[in-house]
Amino acid sequence: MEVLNVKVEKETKEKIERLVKARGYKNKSEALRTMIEEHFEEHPELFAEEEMEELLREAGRISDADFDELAARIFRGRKTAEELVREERERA
Amino acid sequence: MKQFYMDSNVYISGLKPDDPFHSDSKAIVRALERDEIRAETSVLTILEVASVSGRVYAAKKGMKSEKERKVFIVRSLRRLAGLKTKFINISGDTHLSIRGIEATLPSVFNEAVLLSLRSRLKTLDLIHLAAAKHAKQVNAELNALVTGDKDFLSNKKELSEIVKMPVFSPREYVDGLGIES
Repeated sequence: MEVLNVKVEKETKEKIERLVKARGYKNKSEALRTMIEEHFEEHPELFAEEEMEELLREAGRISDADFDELAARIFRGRKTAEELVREERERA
Repeated sequence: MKQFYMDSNVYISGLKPDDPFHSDSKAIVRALERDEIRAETSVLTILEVASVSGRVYAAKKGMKSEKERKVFIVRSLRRLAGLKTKFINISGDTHLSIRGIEATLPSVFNEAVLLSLRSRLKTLDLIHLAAAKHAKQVNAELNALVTGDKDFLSNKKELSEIVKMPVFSPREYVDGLGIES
């Protein structure tokens, strides 16, 4: 594990200490670790921009012709385009 | 230059070689790429294209390729954007007051509520219809609503009167343009 040195207000430190007792954490470090991980899980949008940049880079490597070929394979099937879109409209 | 309102299913049909409207939708896509015609559509189309692309990809490839599925969605949206499509958003809020119902709602919803009084279309269809009506009001050059949707096509007359432009299937539109499918 990595070590972080974080300065917080006295009031915040006291709140963390209260949570350690109330929730049965081993120490302040475990309490903060758990809370930070929970926050990241609850807020995936914090990293959405970063992920979108990566996806755009990957997508940019596919030419229109290659995409059309891939899309033709993916969309091929018994349902029509109208039915695929209609399903979305009826699911909403 | 001819300008039209494009339903989401026209774009998807252009990508789907076994679709009944594929050759016509593909002809529309090619005409858009050559800048011979221009398309406008609701911002809802972005969501529908993303959702259909992701869902169909997952059904075909399974969930093991989650990263590839996301790349496919983004690439599908980039392909749509590459057609220089203008995305219509009816911005702002509108106050709705109907004896006891007092609500402030996005203007597109308000327009859709009003259209529900004139049409029996489903909720998201009404939002497309509201966007098409708004697009025509803003851009008088818009001269067709092109869709493969069965409900729209079976109510052409009624819907044409609402959006103040004819409602065509991709085939009818391509025939009217005089381009080869």
